[in-house]
Amino acid sequence: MRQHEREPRTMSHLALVRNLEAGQVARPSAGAALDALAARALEGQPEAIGELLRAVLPAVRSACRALLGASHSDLEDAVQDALIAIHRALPRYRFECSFLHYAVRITFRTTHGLRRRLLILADRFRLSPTDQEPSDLRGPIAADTAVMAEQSEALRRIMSQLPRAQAEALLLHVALEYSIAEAAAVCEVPVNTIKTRLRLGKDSLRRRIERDPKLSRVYGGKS
Amino acid sequence: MTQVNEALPRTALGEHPHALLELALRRTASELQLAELGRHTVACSACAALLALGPTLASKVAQAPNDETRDRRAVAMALSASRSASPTGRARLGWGLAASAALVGSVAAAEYLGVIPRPSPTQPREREAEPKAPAMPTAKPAAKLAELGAAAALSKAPASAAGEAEPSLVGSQSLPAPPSSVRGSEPESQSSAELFAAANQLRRTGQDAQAIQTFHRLQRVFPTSGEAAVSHATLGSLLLQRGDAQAALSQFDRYVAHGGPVLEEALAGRARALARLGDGARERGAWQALLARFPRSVHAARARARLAELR
Repeated sequence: MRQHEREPRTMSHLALVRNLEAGQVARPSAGAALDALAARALEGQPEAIGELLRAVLPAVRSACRALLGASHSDLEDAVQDALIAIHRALPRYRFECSFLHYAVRITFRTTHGLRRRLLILADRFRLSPTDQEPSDLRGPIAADTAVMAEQSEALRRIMSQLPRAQAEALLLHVALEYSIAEAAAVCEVPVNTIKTRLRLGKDSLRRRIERDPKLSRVYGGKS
Repeated sequence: MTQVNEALPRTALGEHPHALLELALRRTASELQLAELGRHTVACSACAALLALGPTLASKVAQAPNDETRDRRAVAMALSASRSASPTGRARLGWGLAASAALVGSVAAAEYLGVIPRPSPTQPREREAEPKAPAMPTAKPAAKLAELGAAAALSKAPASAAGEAEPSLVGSQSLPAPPSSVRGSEPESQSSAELFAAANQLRRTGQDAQAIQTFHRLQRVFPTSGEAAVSHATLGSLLLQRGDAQAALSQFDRYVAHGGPVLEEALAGRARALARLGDGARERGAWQALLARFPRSVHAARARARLAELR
């Protein structure tokens, strides 16, 4: 598929997580594990705090994009809110899960909050909700890729409108490529709870796809 | 759920093959597994859409080449925005709260048991004189506290040997009220509670150097007071944050020798100080002591990680 031509320029969330957890990227200095960096940051070393935030930032940005969309006008604000919240939550980190999971969990919470505020504002001032912006293509791309991108954005938008727990489970599993066990770790719930959320989310998703003009033409109406 | 069950056959509803979908999305599914998934997606538009669009969606949220510039700016802004409520500041606040709570409890218990004479109605309690922490520090109290801190003579000398040997109010309830003669030779207009409160207020307002001076003064002038006993843990933490691991270790050692309600934190602080000093053997012993005493400690994971590294 042609969209694969773009892949060398990007690193998927899954690859990023794997690299970070293995301490293989250059961002955490000298292959230091993320938790070791967190330990230094907890001791109040300012350079370690900056390094830690830089290390988790790509995952934070991916999580924001998954919830808001890649071209959302408030994406940078969402990233900023999440980073500040992660920084402030650092003293409460107890090494009971990976710091990356901790950061992604905080990002989901803050971004949900931002999204809710934006929807309230849009409703109050009768603005067009940013969730209904057209597709967020990054540049000129081939027609079939554009169609896929448009459909995937429609799917993301529908997923993000599901009840929060179901939306998180689906976005973590599909958009951020976490396994079910990893999604459970991020959400701090048992694996079976994630499975239930995925099942309920997919049930809701199916009903919404049937009502979506873009997606029902391609994926709906088969039942 | 009832509505859902009516809408589609049972097999297509409650049994979305999550594991098969995951394998297919990771491109690790076998032909047989793909065939099985295919049978499900004929009936399930949700799984069909996720299977077809999942990879595109994942690539759209992935790291992009121009993210790095935005990342640098975002981190700088986050650090700047958080500075007013920095994690270390909050940690310091936590220490202060723990220490204050411990002190209040200890003093109340000592009074109850008759260890410390209750203040007479005509003599106001020392703690009543303690300034309450304002929600936002105002200029006037801050200036007054800065004066207090500046007036305190900085002495590097630790508390007297007598102070180290005597039992702590926190650790033991058999401490007699300190006679005024042991309070040092310099005239002291403030009580131990006032000094303790002033030091904590300085710490809360980020005036660490002056807070350290005031804690030292408290320990020097009122070495047998309950406030001084508690202050060893708080001061140790402050010193460690400022990079003076040797002095921090000394404070933690003195707290650990007597014990007290924040012993767990003091043991962890002692181990961190030893780590900073590069004393691996003693650090290992310190983490082991923490785990032996508090096996379910919040620091247990870190202790085990360090022990594994030091092995």
